[in-house]
Amino acid sequence: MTDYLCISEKPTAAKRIATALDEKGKPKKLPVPRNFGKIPVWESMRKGDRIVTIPALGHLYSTVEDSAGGWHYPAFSYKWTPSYLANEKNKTRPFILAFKKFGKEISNVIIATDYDLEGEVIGATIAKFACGQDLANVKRMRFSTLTKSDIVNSFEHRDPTVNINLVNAGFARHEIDWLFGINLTRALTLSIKHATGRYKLITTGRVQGPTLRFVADRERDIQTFVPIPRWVIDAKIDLDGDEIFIEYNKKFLSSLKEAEKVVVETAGRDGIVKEIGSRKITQKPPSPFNLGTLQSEAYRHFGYTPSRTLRAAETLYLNALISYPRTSSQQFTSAINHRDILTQLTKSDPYRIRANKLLSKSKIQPTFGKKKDPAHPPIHPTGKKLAGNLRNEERNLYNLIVCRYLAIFGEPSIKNGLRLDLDINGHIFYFRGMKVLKKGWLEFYAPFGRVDEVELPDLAVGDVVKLAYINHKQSYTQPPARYNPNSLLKKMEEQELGTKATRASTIDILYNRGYMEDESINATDLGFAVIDTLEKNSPDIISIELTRKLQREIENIQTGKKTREAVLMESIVQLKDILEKFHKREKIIGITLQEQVQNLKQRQRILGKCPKCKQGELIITRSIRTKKRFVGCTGFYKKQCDWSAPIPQKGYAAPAKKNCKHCGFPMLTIRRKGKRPFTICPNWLNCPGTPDEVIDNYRNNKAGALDVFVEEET
Amino acid sequence: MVKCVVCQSTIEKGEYCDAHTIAKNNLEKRFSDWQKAYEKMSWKEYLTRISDDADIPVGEWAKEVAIYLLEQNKK
Repeated sequence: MTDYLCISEKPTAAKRIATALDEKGKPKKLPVPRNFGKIPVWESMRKGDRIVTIPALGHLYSTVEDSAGGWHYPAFSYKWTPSYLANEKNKTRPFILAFKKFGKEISNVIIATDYDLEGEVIGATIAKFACGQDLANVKRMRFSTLTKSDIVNSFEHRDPTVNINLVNAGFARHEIDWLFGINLTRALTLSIKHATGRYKLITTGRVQGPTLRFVADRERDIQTFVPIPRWVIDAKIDLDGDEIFIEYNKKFLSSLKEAEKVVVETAGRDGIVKEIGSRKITQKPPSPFNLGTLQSEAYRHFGYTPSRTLRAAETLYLNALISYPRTSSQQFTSAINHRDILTQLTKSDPYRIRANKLLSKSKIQPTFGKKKDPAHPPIHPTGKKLAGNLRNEERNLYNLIVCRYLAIFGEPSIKNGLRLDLDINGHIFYFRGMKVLKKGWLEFYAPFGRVDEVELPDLAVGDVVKLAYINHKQSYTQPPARYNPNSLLKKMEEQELGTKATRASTIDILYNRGYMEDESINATDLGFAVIDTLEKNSPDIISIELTRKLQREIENIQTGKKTREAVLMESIVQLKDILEKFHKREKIIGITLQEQVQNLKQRQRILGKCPKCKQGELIITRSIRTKKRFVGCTGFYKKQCDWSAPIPQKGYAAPAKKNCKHCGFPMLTIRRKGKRPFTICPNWLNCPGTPDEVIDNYRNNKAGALDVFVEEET
Repeated sequence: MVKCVVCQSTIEKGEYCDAHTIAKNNLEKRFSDWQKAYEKMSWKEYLTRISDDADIPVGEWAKEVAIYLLEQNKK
């Protein structure tokens, strides 16, 4: 009998692995000492061997500074330490204790974490630091789904050793990220401290900086945008009493004179159908999902942010419903048995007909995209029936993944693009239609691959139609669109910034740090200030080229072309150079940043123009005498306006960026911890929208008089 | 050290900060397009339209420069 210690990444995965490996499918939960908390330690019996499976909780070890020099830069000395020591919020101590205990008893260690850079680091740090193993002796289970067959197969055919290049690449990525993050953050924060004596934490990182730069560059393009005027022709024809829109052959006209000429020459005239044309459009089935395309489609159809999609996909993976989602692959290998998965899908009502239809084909051949990932196949369903304990977003995502999977086996779709040309006094107008001739893969991708058919009116060449309406309409060229979480993720992917596993969380960090806001991403003044200052004074910190180069170096370690030590040394040399240059301009950087932070604070107080004096601005301020918060007009300081009003004293007050629909005053939003934010009109004492109860309570000095507002508005 | 004439932020030299310099350049560059579009248009009329018409999708910083230039009555 041999004992094995199996390192899993998460408790849910550990249970699945233990259940799959146990011959009876009923692993035993081993008793653990009290100080281990509720750590589930599973014992599975297989062919006379004993397998103990223990979960981690993501990373159990992390990098920390290895010196007691205080908060300074540069800081190049670091060490790996248990994450609960690095950050006391991490509740990982019991997990490390469990690995230490069983690591002493069992010498055959198998890493069964997700097979990627992060998974390898999680497993390797536990095997090395907690179990005291030489990594050359540690075995590796590789699987892409948490189905029983995949887990058993990966156990039976486990790799004799971990992928040491992958481990080194993972370690190097963590170490480089730590070096850049800690040094750049300290440099920025200390620049303010040294220049102005004030403390304001300004963070950045190897991927964060360049990503924020995309957003800030776009914001700059929008804020400095000056449009060009243009005109469109707005026209309708009358067909048996129905008015139908037609489009002019030039989408935009660049001068008012030209637009007026079209209207004058066509108004009141009849049109003659000059030509009716059609064009066949063949559309191939889509490629299988990788994480990027899944995040993109989930945003398009459900509005889920990339990180929300990733979270939901991980839950589906842990429930063995789909394959490993952190993959960039768009190509299946022959190892996947599609016929088997489709057969399983026929057992689920929503997919039965479509899966059966595909199974009736003599050859089942999936499409493929350009991207390869040797570690994992594209995201696909395992065929396991959907459980009842899933949330709506997980169900939606599962449906999307299954429909996409079915669609990749479909035939190309064929559409007929139709166009009717109408001649009105020498001016050509179009009417466009669309007809689906063959649904092909669209049928399998329903409801996600819908095409709206538009029939052409029943007209023939030479027919005369009446122009019902024509005019020109002023329009302008538009500024570039702001990024949304999905398009920003795509941009990062295009520019090779970060990895498939980290991009979504980088976007979240930028939101959490207050560098960007809103769904349609807007660089905040702070975000813009950081990029603006660094662009001028230390451009290397936000250089896309540098980040991309570091990423390639990490990949070089993974492929064995470079060693971890060489890459780390090169990174430190580069970082040292950046920090030296930064240090020379520290004072100007600090002053500029502090000024921008101050401006930001100032702007966060301004609600908008004062509707009373129309000159000053309404600001959120405090009384010097009573220290109470109120809204007042800046005209007060110039003795021009004395408008002021009390506002709720609790919570964080900020401009709502909208005006009251009752009285037109710029409104403010109050945010209280644990409660939904609410918006109030600062003119509530005189606003016709204020409930009488609020006024009565206020006049009777009732505590929390404005709280009625709170309920009204939420 | 000097201040940007539009936003008062600290700059090393010149009249405008970087953002307002780009905005001013864009305003100057687009003026000929506006003249072509409307046949006749003065610089002052152009700046007035840019700063007053809420339907024009002009960037905030470009608008701030237009307002400043109108106040200064200079190009």
